[in-house]
Amino acid sequence: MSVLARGLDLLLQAVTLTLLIALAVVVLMGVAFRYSGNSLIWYDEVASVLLAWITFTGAGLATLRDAHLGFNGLLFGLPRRGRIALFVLVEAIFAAVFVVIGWGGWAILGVFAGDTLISVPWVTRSFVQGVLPVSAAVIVLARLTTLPRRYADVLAGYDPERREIDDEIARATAPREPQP
Amino acid sequence: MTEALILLSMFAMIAVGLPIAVAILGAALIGVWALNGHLGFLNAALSIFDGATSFPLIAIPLFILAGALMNTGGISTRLIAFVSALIGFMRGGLAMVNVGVSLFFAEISGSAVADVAAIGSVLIPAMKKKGFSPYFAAAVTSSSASLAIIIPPSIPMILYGALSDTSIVRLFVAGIVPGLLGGFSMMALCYYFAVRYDLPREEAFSLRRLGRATKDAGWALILPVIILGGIFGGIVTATEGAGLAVVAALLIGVFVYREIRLGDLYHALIDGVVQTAVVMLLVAASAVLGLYLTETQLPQRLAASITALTENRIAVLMIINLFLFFVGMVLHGAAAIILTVPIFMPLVHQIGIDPIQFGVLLTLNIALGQQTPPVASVLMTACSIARTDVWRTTRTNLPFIGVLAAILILVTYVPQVSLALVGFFYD
Repeated sequence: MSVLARGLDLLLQAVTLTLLIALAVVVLMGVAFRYSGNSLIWYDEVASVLLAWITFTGAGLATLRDAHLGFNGLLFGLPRRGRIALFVLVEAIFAAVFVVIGWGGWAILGVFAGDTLISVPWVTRSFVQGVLPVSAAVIVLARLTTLPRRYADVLAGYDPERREIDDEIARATAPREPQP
Repeated sequence: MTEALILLSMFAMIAVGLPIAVAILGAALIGVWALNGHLGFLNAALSIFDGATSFPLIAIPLFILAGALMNTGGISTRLIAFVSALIGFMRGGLAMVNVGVSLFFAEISGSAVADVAAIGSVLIPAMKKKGFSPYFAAAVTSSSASLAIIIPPSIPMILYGALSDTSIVRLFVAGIVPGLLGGFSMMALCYYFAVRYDLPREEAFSLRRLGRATKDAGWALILPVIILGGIFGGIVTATEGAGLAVVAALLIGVFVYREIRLGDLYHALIDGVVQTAVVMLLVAASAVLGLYLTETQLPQRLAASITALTENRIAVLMIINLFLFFVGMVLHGAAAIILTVPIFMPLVHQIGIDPIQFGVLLTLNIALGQQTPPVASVLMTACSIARTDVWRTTRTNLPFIGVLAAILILVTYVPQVSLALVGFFYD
C-alpha cells in the first residue's frame, strides 16, 4: 500500500469507527430513554444520518480495500490485451459515475439554503449532505491510489475474489497471540 | 425500448467487472439523464443520500458489530464446544456439529466469506483428520452456512424488509421453521452418509462433559434468547434488539469470559464497517435506480406482461423462482435482493403472495445461489480451506443443495411452512 493509500486508510478507519460507535450509542440511548418515559425526539433522525455517513465514508474505505461486490469472471477469463482494454473501460466508467454523483451532491447543497434537520434545528441539511460530494471525491481518490496494484493483478491474471478468499483463510488460520 | 437498453447496460457493466453498486448507479444515472437531463443528476444525488438513511437498516451495522464482539469475545468457541458435547457422540457427529454451528454463526458478520473462513478453518481440518472426505467436509460447511441466512438475525432479510416495507420481525419469525427444517434435514443427511460410509463419532457421549459445556456456554446461550425474545415479544424493534445484542456481547466478552482482545476487536469492527458500507452503497444506488423505475413504471409493466401470460399463482411463483435462481447464480446475495425486490414487488402484490412468504422464498434462492458456480463465494471459500476442486465438491454437495431446493419448494407452495408461526405469534 502506498503512503497516500495508507494515510487515507487510517483516516477513513478513524472516521468510520467513530461514526459506528456513535450510532450504537445513539440507538442504545434511544431505547433507554424510551423506557424511562422520556423518548428522545432526535433519535431516529440522527441515527439515520449517522447510517448515511457510515455508508458514504465506509464506501471510500471499501474502495481502498477493493471490497465492493463485483463479478470478475469475464474480465479474468480474457487474454491479456482484452483484460487491459476492459480494465481501462471499467476505471473510466467508475470515475465518471462518482464525478457525476459528486457534482450532483455539490450542486444540491446550494438548493438547501438554510434548511435544517427537523429535530436538531441547529444542524443544517447542507452540512449533513455535504458528506456526499466529499465522499465521492474520496472514492475517486481511493480508486486512483489502488490503480497500480489492481493493474498489476490484471496483468498477472490474479482475480480479486481469489485474493479475498486467500486473505480470509490466512487470517482465520493465523496463530493467535496468547492472552496476557 | 430505452428502459430495456438501460437495464442491459447495467448488466453489461456488471459483466465487464464494474462493482455492482457502481453499475447500478451508472445505469440509473443514464436513465435519469435521459428523462430529465442534468436536473436528473440532482435528483439522483438526493435519492442516493435518502436511500442510505433507511432507519430499519441501522440493524445491519449493529448486528455486524455484535457478531464481531461475539467472535472475538470467546462466545463462538463456547458454542462450538456446547454443540459438540450435545451431538458430537452420534455417527458422523462432527459433520452435524458443523451444521449446528453454522446455523448459529453463518452470516453474522455480514460477510459470508469471513464467516465460512472462521468456521471452516476450525471444522474442515478437524473433519479431514477424523476421516471425512475433504469434498464432504467442504460441502457440509458451505451448504449449512448458506441455509443459515434464513435464520435470524438475517442481514438479507433486513435488506428485503427495508426495501419492500415488510416487517423485519415477522420475517425473522417466518424463517425459523424452514431454517430448522433445513438444519435437521441436513443433519439427517449427514447421519445417512455417516452410516453408509462408516464415518466416525466425535467422542463418546458424556453427561458430565455436556453439563460442563452447557455451564460454560450458559451466557452465550442466553444471549440469543434475550435478544430474539425481546424482538419477537415486541419489547424492542429489530434495530433496538441489534443494539442490545451489542451491549450484551460486550458485557459477556469483557466481564464474564474476559477474552476480548482489543486488536482483534478493532480489525473485526473495521471489517464490519466495510461490509456495512458495501451493502449500504448497494441500497443507496438502488434508490437511484428506483427513482428511474418509478418514473418509467417498468416494474408495473413487467407485472402486467407476466400476468397477461398467466395469473396462476403456482406458475407465476415458478417463473419467479427460476428467475431468482439464475440471478443468484451470477450475483452476490445482497445485490440480487436489491435488484430484484423493486422489480418483483408489484407482481407479488398483484397475484396475492404474502410479502413475508416471498421474503423467505427470496432469501432461500439467495442461499441456493451461494452454492451454484460461477458466483459462489461461500462454496469457493470452503473449497479453498478443504483444498478441493469446486466442481467435484459441487457433485458431493448435490444432496445438500437438494435439501435447500426442497425447503424452497415447501416454502413456495405450502405458505404455512413460513407463515404459521407468524400467524401464531401475531394474528
